This record gives sequence, structure tokens and C-alpha cells, in this order.
Amino acid sequence: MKRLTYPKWIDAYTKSMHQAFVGMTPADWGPLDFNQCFRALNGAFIEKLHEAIVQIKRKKIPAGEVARHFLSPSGFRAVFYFAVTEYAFSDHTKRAQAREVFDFFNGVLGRMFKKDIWAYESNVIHSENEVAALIRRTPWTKGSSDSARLVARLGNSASALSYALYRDYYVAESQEVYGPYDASSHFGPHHILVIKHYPKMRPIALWPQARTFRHADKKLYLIYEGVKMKCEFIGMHTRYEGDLMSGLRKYAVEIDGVFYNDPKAIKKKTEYIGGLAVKQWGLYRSMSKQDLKMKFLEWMCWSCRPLFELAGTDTGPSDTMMRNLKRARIADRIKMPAMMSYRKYLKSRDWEAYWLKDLYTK
Amino acid sequence: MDPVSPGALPGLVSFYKPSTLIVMNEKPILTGFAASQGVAEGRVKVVLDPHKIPTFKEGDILVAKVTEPSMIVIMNKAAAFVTDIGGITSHAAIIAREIGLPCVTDTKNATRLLKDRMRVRVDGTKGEVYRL
Repeated sequence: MKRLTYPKWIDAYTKSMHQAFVGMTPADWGPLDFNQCFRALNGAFIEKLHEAIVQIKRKKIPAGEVARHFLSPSGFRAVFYFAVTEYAFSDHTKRAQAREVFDFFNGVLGRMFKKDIWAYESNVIHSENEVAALIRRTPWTKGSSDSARLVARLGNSASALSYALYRDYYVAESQEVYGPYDASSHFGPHHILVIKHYPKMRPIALWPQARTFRHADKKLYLIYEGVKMKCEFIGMHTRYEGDLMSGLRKYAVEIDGVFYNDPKAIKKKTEYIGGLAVKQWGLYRSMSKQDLKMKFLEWMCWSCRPLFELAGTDTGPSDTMMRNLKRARIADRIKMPAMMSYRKYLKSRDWEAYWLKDLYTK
Repeated sequence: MDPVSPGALPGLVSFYKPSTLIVMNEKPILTGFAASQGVAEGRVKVVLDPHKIPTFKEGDILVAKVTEPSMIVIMNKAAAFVTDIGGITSHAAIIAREIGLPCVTDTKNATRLLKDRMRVRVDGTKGEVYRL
């Protein structure tokens, strides 16, 4: 039997990443070419992560404790991908540092998810007991095609605000879809629970005007019959089989800990949140390229803020990060063509499958 | 034709009884990726600049290069989405599947070929757009 010369997780990770890119591309993402930003950093953020990880280890904080502090597990998964990308584009002089960062992230991800760490099919952070308890304590409302659309529009408004706050690369910070969870023992055969979570919707440290936002956290609990759900690498990249409109059997809407079941109230929230999204989006018009570069660094650090806080290290961008990015020429958008085949991807020197194996085998 | 679902949007024909659907023999004027299933008819509204959202009527077909959050208000009114760029997990595709609307992505040049007020049928199951 052929022995692997690199860690086994790389195969699972690259398989899931490739699938995600096939689903996402062709793409046009903004408000900057973030890949050029990662290249410009040349490992400066990995260095910042490493500094924090050294402190976490020194303080003997277990991986499970770190995992508990991240409200957006998919966001953490995305941060891992960004760190791999930054490493791939760097001059590769800090190999040991990069390995230590990636191994640490792997350990934390292993504690976050009950299975399928790289979300090839699912995004599962709750145990069976937790799901059963959640189903029991949730005040359910009967579902219908009308209510399915009503709740979906609320989700879409929340999603729009999330995009407006974090844009295309950091959107997983405030959008999670968990599941599918088997709900058949409570609701009958072929029933699943899907949870949509929109945390961090009032990020005052990133956007001071968010102080006036009425809500910080939204959750939608959805019980479907005859619907299959899967997701690709991050929770919000969902794919469904079956009719989401006629298949919704029960739902619950929770905003900042309060449950709503009046359609008028839900519609009002949808309009309010959608209005915030449009207003927030308008802010980008007045931002210069340099402003956007700094915002990128703020997003980057924000995504790992719990890690820096636990470590006791600085939560903002380092001088090196700011210096490297400030002088770099960065395009307005990333334009990505359709993804190559998995076979080609595995061999391509342009993608992480190659770089990661190279990192661990040399 | 009576809609099966009382919640069906104006212009949305995916909920109509299959026997009453008109069989299309024409060639589609656009093809792309079938990102969200269903069929809808309506008038085209092309949005080229997400910062300048035009008047958008309930049941219009949203045509854009890509969709963005600033479009959420009109996305909640649209009967279908057609985009130049995008895959199965692009923004437009995810939103369309969530609210049960047809969506065709990766058409390459929908914003160039389709014009405002043009009546079209969007077949999100086949990834095709027909002029009516």
C-alpha cells in the first residue's frame, strides 16, 4: 500500500475546495482583487496568526475552547483557505510557521464540527442531543408556500446586509447554514432541520454606524419534508433537492433571542433589514482604493478577533500588513473563469493542492 | 390558467398545472447555467449599475451582470433572475433557490442581448431564455 507523504486532511480539503470553486465560478467578486491583496501581504497575516497561536499554546488554551469562541465556523474555515492562499502567493520563506498555523487551524476545526470538517456535503456543528433539545424548545409555526417565501425573503434581506457588511470574501463571518439534521424522530420520516444563522450583524468595530442597527443576530429554523440539503465548503453555499416552497412544514424566526410568528412583523423586519443593506452598500461609493485596502485588513483581522483576544495579542492589522498592502497595486474585482477539472486542479502549480503537498513534503 | 399555489408571484408560471404549459418550439435567445428550476415570464429590466436601481415592477425579470446586495429590494420583487456570470452557488443562484424563482446564470451576454421591456420566458430548469 502506498503511504502518504503529506497529512491526510489535504486530500479531503482539496476535494471540497475544488467542488466549491466549480459551484462558485465563473465569478466576479469585489470590492477588490483579494487574491492580489493576499499576494501583497507576503505572509504578514500568517505571521500575525502564528504570533497568536504561540501565545495560545503558551497559555495552554485547548482547541475546543478556541472553537467555542468563533460564532461563524464557516468563517473560520474560510480564514483557513485565505491563509493557504496567502502562503501560496508568498515567497515561501516561513514554511515552519505556515505549517504550525495550518495544523492549529485543523485542530480547532476538528473540534468545531461533528463530521465533514471541510463541508463536502454538510455543515454540522450540533450533536444529536443538541438537535433534539433545540427542536423541543423551539416554538414552531406551521409552514406553507406563502410562509416559505416570507421567511426566505427575511433570510435574503439578512444575507444582503451580511454581504454589504463583509463583502464577497468575508461574508461567511455573518452567514451560516447548518445542517442537514435528521428531524424524523420528531416530525416523521424524511424530515430535516436546517438552521440559518446570521450572527455579527452589528459589527460596530468595523462600521461605527452599525451602532444604530436594531438587530445583531438572526436565526431561522426550518423543518422540511422531502427536501435534501447539502453545502459546499461554507454553510451558505447550499444546494437543495426538492421543493423548498411546498416542502416547508414548520418554521421559527428568532431575532436577538425573541421569536416572531406574525407574518406582518416578519415582513416589517424584512423591509427594515433590506433597507439597511441598501444603505450600507451605498457607503462603498465614497471609499477610495486605499480606504478599501484598509477595510480588507480590518475584515481579515476581524475574522480572527476571538483568536487574538484569547491570545492577548493586538487585534488590528500589523504595521507590516499595512505597509505591504498600501504600496501594492490592486485591481477592483476578481474575475475567475470556470474551474478546471479535478485532475488538472490536483496537478496545477496555481492551486493549493500543489502548494500544500509541497509545504508538507519538502 | 389557475395558479396551483396562491403564493405564486405575478409572472411566475412554475406553479401552473403542467398540462396548461405552452410547449415551446422556438430556439432560445440565450442559454446558460440552470441555477434554479422553474419557469417564469415577464418583462426584462436590465440593471447595469447596482448603485442606480431603476424602477422595478413586481414580476419583472431581473437581468444583471451579477447580482449584489444593493439589489435585494428588487430581487424580492422579481419573477426570475438572468445573469451574465455565475455558478450554482453564486449570489443570484442561492437567492433564487431560497425563494423558489427560476434563475439562469453564466449566459455571458444577457445584459447585452436583452433589452428593457422585452417580454421573455426564463426556464431555470433548462437554463434557457426565450423571447415571447
